[in-house]
Amino acid sequence: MTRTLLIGLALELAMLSLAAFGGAAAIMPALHDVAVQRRHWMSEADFLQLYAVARVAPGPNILIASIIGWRVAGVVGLLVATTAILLPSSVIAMTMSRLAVRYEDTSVVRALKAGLAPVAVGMIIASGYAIALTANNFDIVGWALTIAGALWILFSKHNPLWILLLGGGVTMAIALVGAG
Amino acid sequence: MSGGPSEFAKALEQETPHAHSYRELAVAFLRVGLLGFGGVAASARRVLVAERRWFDDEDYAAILGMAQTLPGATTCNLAVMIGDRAQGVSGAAVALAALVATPLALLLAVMAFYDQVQSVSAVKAMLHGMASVGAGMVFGTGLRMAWSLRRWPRRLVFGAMALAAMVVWHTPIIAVAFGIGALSVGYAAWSLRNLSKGGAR
Repeated sequence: MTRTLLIGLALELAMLSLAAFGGAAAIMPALHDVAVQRRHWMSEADFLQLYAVARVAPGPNILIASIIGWRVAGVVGLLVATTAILLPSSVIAMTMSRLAVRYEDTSVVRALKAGLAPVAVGMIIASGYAIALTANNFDIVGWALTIAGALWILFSKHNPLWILLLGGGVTMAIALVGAG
Repeated sequence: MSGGPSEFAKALEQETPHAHSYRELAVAFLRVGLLGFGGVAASARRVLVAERRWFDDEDYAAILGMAQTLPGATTCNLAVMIGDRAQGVSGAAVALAALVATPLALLLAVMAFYDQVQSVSAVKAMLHGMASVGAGMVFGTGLRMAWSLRRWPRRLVFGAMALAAMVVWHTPIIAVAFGIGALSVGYAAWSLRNLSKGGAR
């Protein structure tokens, strides 16, 4: 039982690792579909909360895979998930880096770079849309916070942690006032 | 011609004289992870360029471009490439492990309280707000990358295709990454070749 779970976890995440052009952001909708709809590892609300936790923590956002693993199968799940999300892409990075050093004129590598960057842009914007849709639904405050987050990344040189904390503070204050 | 892989090769080459030890790799990437609140991209630059001077700005841009292009988290790829160059496969493993060690430990500490705290409605609301902001940050990152590619509007067509495939048709991500990715790389190869032919004449 647990073993099937772990194998499923490893396979799904290893696949996403290969597709993560532009980092964790690109695969967030796919991760959501796998975790919530296809494998039923967690509820939608649960996924969103884990997403928020992963965003505030230091380190690469791809580590959301690790906490999903932890949620699904404890410490073993965490280790399996972390390895599965990191290993395939790392092997590719190492191979490509060695090839690029060996072959000084690598028109192939240049074409890869020029071709994959725009696809990553499309995937990341689609991902922003998907996350915003799940997180905000028809909530005006949520959309305002989403716009604020985008503007911060576009125009502010300060650490994005501040806007994250501010956003969390706003919704927490609204909840507390509403309850009181 | 700028930003090509020969610059990447040069960037890694420049870096060899230092031939960082396992210890140096571990300490540097532990620091990147530790200082990475709100994103490791900024702390990686701070540690590797400003503090340790393993790269100058130009070389760092070349190697960062490569790390961004490949699948996987940019900073993880960076750690793998620098670690591999310094000490081979085991160096890559050390650098990567050091990078994720602190963030993972912190996440685990948070998750230990998650079940008790998660049901508190104020905490729930806070996490919800953070997720909303996070979505915006993803948007912002994508728009920023699109802006940096504005000189090649035709290449961005493939970005629009990927966006439409995911949002409108819910195409599986592997199909988007490798299908549209292959088309886009093919077009880029073709246009780069035409460009160099034109330049030669």
